[in-house]
Parts: sequence; structure tokens; C-alpha cells
Amino acid sequence: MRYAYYPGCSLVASEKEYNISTKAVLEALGIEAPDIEDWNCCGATAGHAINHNLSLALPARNLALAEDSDAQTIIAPCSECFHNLAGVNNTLKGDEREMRKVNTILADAGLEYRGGVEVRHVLDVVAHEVGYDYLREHTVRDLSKLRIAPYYGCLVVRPPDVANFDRLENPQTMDNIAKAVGAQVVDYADYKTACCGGALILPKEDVALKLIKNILLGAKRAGANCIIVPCPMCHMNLDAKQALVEETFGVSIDIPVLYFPQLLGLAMGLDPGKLGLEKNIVSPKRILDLLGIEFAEELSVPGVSITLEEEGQKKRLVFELG
Amino acid sequence: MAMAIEEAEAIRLDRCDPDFIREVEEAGGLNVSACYQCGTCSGGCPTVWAMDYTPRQIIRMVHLGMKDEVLSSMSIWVCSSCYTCQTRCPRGVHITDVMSALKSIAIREGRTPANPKGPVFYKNFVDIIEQYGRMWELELSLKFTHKSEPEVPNKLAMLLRDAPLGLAMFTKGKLALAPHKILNIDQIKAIYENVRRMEAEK
Ligand code: SF4
Ligand code: SF4
Repeated sequence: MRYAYYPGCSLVASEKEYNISTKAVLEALGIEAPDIEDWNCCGATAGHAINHNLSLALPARNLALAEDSDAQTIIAPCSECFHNLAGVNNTLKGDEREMRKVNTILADAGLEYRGGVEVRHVLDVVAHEVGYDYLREHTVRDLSKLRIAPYYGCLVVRPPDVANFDRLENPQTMDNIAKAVGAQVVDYADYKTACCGGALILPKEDVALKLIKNILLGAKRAGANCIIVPCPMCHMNLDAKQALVEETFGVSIDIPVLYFPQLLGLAMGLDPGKLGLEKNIVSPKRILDLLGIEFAEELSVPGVSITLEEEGQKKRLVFELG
Repeated sequence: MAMAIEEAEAIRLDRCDPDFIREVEEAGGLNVSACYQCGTCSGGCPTVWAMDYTPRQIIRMVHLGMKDEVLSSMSIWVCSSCYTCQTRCPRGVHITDVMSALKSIAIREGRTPANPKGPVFYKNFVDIIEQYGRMWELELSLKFTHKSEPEVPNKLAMLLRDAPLGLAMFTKGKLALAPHKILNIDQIKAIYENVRRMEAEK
């Protein structure tokens, strides 16, 4: 299988740890997947909200680029990108008129898509191409102290004509991955595919925060000490917005949210530094301590060294250039 | 107790637009007419509590052509595009796509939205892609806070509230201070131009 990799915008910016850990794990699994060269944004939810044709053409450019590079399958780690790329791919392959229209739009860009690639989410590839047995056999760390709440979100399971690799209402792929590597999985089925609000966190924050709170509390009540996710949007909401949820609703949550490749990488014996774990907002130190894995919570910006100095109650960030 | 006709909110069919349903389907919201009003969509919708009309009502209003009411509703801006409704609909109505189509029609027609932040967010998003070919989150959030200012009662308090997260993102190297422009940005411009041309030709 010749794979191409589509990181998407979040993975090269605010959610780098997903990109870092996915690439590290794919490499460890022996899966070669070079980036689609000069890929563009898939349009996210905004493309759909602005113009139907734009929401077809933006993903289509990436499909055409992958096809030209002779790839057979695009691996997309972001659920939104996966949804857009796979959805548009289905539409174009199933409807000649739409294909012709989109190729008219692409023509002035010197591109044409002929329907020659397929698009899969990285969760699908790991669960079904690599397989749970392989993961079980390659687990070298004891993760039995982890009680994991797998949070799937929306677009890896819905709509079923686009995302069709897992069960709709009670998906199992991440449950099986967590179990294969020896972690416990908590039962909180009601929230596994409940919506986190996605991009609504910007235009309608109050609504999104309530949805996030319900999921986090659901995981907490089920006794989880770690949540795993397969989507940067879900991660942004559950991880980066967790403090805001605690503040807004006066609740205490304090659960690290890992990308499922971060968990897999730990299981396979990779160094936490290779999995971008220091970039998660809710510190995963607690669970790494629990697992007896050494972890330096170092802060890093290229060209700048940053240290955290503590004096009793006071904390001070020191920036040094050079 | 029976309600007097005058008290009920009457649907004014004379103010409805019978072509609206076609417009919605053309904008990507397929199978609207297949709906038999079972309410499954509303029952599973995670944001229905924040809507003024339930998804089932929105679909019926599209049937009837109640364009003004639909396009000025809060519902379309509260929909998170989670696809729960579309997945569960026994009639194959593309409800999520209808919601997106309604957003795009409202934006295209410059309607005054029930949530002013909605159009600002989506428009900025696609404008940034046109410029760079990719998202630049910093510009998106700065523009967004700026342009939706009237909505934010205390912008400074908002910025201060979000400052610790911003700092954490920065120190963790997750905040891109400059945009990444793709090499063949001309291709993106050509795509946008052609999409606009098709829109104008309609
Ligand atoms: S679930 Fe489908 S058929 Fe039932 S009310 Fe909603 S759109 Fe109509
Ligand atoms: S897609 Fe929108 S309308 Fe449908 S269930 Fe989700 S939030 Fe509700």
C-alpha cells in the first residue's frame, strides 16, 4: 500500500503533539506515509458554511495532489479533515456531474482529480491494518494502572456513509487499542460519541463549554484517570479548555487528555519526548508518574529557553533568547 | 384547552417562498422533502436546548418556504455539525448539510444573524485560507475577538481570561506567530475565483 499523509492545519500548529506522536508511532509500526506536498486547508466546517462548491474544491485539490504523487491511500489523523477529504472523495466518485464541476474549478489551477485515491482515518489504519494482536505483541510497558475513557467525538463515526470503520453508537476501535496495550477501559458509553461542540467553541462558546463539561464529568464519574482522543478539535476542547470549564462551572476535573498515538507510543516503549507529551495543556505527569515513566515537563520555543522558577507561592517564567 | 386561532402564531403562507426548498437542496442540503416529521433528529441533537426552533421544525419550515424565519433563527448558528441527526434520520434527510446550506444562504444574502459571531467566524476562516492556503489560528482569533467586539461585553476581561492559555500555547511552541503560506497559492486563488464565478452565473 502506498500511503500519503495529510496532517491538516491544527496538527502543524496548536495541536502539534498529535502530529509528532502519530508520525513517531507510524514509523515504529513501519508504515511509510510522506506528507502530501504543498497540501492546503480542507476548509473545515467553515467551507460548508460559506459555499458548497468551495467545500468540494478545497479537499479536491489535496486528493488531486495525492493522486499525482502516485499514492493509493491518504492517511488523515484529524477527524474533520478526514470527514472532508473522505466525504468529497465519495461525492466525486459517486456523481459524475459533481466530478466534472469540481474539475472545472480545479482546471485553472492546472489540476485534475480522477478518483484514484481512498481516504482513511489513522485510527482505522492502526485498528484494521496494523491490528490489535500486533499492538498487544509489541507492548513493552505495563499500562494496567491507566483507567481510560476513550472519547471518539463525532466525525470518526458519523455520518456512516463517510466514516464506516466503527460502530455508530458504541464504537470499539480505541477501546480495543487501549485493551490490547493492557490499559483498563472505563464504561461511559453515553459520552463516547457525544458532541464536544467542535468549532462552536469560538462563535458560540457558552454552548460548547456545556457540552465539554458533560463529557469531562462523564469520564470523571466513570472513574477515568486518562482520556484518549483521535481528533485535534476534540483535544483542543477537552484539554486546552478544561481549565475554563472548571472555572466556568465550579467543578474539578483534572484529567490528562492524550491522543491515542501518545498512548500507543508509550505502550511501545517510545520516549515521552518523542510523543510530544510536554505539549499537552493538562499535564500528563501524574499518569506518567503512575506508570513509573520519567518525564521532564520542559517548556520549549525554538530559539528561546524558558524556565519556570518557583519561590514559595510565586511562580515566574524566565525567557532567555539565543 | 383549545387556543383561539388569533392567539396561535399563524404561519403566513402568503409570505412563504415555495422555491426555498430548491435553493436549500442546491446549496448542498439533500432530501429535505423526504422528511415525515418523526422528530428523531431533534431527540438526539446535543444543542437543541439552545435553539429557538428544533431541527425537525427547521426542516418543516424549509418545506413550507418560511425563508425569513429560518434564516434569522438562532438554530442554524447553534448547530455544531455533529451529524447525529443526519445519521439517525430514518428518511435519509441530510439535516446537517441542510443546516450548513442555511448558514451559507444566510451569509450570502447578508442576513442579520441571531448570533452575529457566526458569520464573522466562518467568513474570516475562509478568507484566511484564500490568503495563505492554510489556517493561521492567531489571525483567526485576533480578527474574531476584534470584529465580534459588540458581542463581547468586556473585551479586556476576555483577553485576560484567555491569557494564561495563550501563554501556555506560546511556551509550548503551539502558537504560530507567522502564517504558513503554501507554495502554489495561485492555485488556491484560482479555485476561489472559479467558485465565485459559478456563484455569479447562477
Ligand atoms: S429525523 Fe428525519 S424524518 Fe424525522 S423529523 Fe428529522 S428530518 Fe424528518
Ligand atoms: S448536526 Fe446540528 S442539528 Fe444535527 S444533531 Fe448535530 S447539532 Fe443538532
